[in-house]
Amino acid sequence: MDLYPFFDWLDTSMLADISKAYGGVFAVVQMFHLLGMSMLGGMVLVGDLRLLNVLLKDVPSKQVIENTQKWFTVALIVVMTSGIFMSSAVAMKLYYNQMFWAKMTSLALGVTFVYAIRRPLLKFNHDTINPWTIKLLAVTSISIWFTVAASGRWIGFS
Amino acid sequence: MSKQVILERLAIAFSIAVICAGIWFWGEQIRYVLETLALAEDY
Repeated sequence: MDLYPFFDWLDTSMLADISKAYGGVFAVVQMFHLLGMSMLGGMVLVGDLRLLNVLLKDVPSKQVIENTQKWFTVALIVVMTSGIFMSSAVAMKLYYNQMFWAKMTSLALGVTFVYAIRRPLLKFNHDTINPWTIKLLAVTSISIWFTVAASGRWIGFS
Repeated sequence: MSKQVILERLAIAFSIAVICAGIWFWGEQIRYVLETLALAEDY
């Protein structure tokens, strides 16, 4: 599927006009992007480190996962919305950037993993789930979101 | 087969695939960085 037409459209859209012309607006939106990333990373780490029995050991893991899930979703929406705005400013540059595609692939994998596998599985009683499966889930989640963050940072250097 | 069992097996398969892909991807990036450093040294 060739996404060039979409990126070409985005690069000349009204959103791009605003993001390219007003550096202050771009900076504020980027601030929200970074805050969203912090919240997302925080919710992932708290949940996954609890599943690995590293922290909050006195709190039931199901409770920790339920409490972090809502703010994870809020953070994801903030990150994706602000990300689209920021992408419009440099759409064609991103289209040709390998790290951008690595980030988008891992983001898609992460979202699929969370909403299709991790969340539905962790709704069951955690005592009935194989402990090694839970640990594998946590390690995979940390790996995916680390890749999203790291490849995103790497965009700036490639 | 219950929904929980299906999800557990899916989780294991997906996790193994993702971890293997992640090792390959980051291995490639490290290889690229080391190659670039070696080129810089030669230059």
